[in-house]
Amino acid sequence: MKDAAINLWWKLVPYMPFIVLFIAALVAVYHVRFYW
Amino acid sequence: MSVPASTLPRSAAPRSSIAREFLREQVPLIAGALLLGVIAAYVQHGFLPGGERAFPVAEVRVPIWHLIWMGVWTGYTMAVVGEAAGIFALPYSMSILQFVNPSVTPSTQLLTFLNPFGALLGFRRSGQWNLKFAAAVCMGGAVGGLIGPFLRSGLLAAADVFHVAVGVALAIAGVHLCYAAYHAPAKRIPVAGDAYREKVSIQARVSGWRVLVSFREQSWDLNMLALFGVGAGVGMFAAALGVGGGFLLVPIFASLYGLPMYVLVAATIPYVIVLSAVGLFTYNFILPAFGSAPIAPEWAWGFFAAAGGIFGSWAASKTQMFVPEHFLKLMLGGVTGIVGTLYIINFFYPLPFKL
Repeated sequence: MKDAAINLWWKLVPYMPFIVLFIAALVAVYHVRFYW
Repeated sequence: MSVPASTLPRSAAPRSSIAREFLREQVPLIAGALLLGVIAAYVQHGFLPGGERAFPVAEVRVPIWHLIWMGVWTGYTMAVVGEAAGIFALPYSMSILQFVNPSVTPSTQLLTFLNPFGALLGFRRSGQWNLKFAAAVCMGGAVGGLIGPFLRSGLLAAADVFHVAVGVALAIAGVHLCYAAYHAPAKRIPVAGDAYREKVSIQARVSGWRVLVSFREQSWDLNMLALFGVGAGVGMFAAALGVGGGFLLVPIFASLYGLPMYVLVAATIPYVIVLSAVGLFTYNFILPAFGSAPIAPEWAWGFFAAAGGIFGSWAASKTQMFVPEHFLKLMLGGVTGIVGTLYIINFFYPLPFKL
């Protein structure tokens, strides 16, 4: 189970910058919506 | 785009060494930055600003978690493509968080000062570290850090002019990233664990005004006066904006000197730290000494963002070789270039939306 989770994590690593950028865009939209 | 699973480091030794490195080197830095943020807020304002009460210097309400997150994502994504967080954090602070007064410059400079420490420790551990190579360009950066704040308080004092200058910087960074996406050297697919086991070493030998930098079988003969001049020129512009200067220094080193990324970081990371430290000192102490009003940073803002940035840049140093740089550079370059172009257009033809 632990090994499977670690393997999944390493498979996600190449996509991590794109995931991070997507979340950053969502957070930016949230800020504009509720704090502007 | 994906890396074959068999090439990924999954042995227990590298994993535990990464965890140990994170706990011993990164956690104290991150905790220290968070603590300094809280202390700075109480010392500067007497309370902890955030989503409910506006940051008095920044004049905006932003939850603290959002500042930490800004540091994480700008530090991570930009470090993956060999840039510093400031060139993304500055326009994000201005356009999304609406921190538009002159204090945004030293506040971002505080982030660019603290952010590289995470990566510096990571690169030093892997041997990408040589102070003889970095000395001349860092001295140039110190000179630039002394002059840049005077440009900010004079030539770039008006908000619209400052936006144009940031737009130019973003456009340069965007073009560089797009160019680098197509001209990056072929990436060697890593074998299990070598990212954490293989020790590289950058050597440098000073002879008169020249420094001979060598790495494995390659070497570069560099003029230290030229390095100093490049450092000073880039430093002036970068300190005036409040960024680290990597967006200019990296393409100059890569295109003029042909230095690969794993060698040039030995100079650019100490450079960003020196430039930012001198720039911050100048904004707070040298400007008033010469009769200009000091431009105080929102210290807590910078510390909270830096706490995230330290983690982000360290995480990038550990995962960089597994990330498809081509697509990422193209995407980041495109976004950066478009935002920069919009800043410039907005100066001449006001756009129908807020920037």
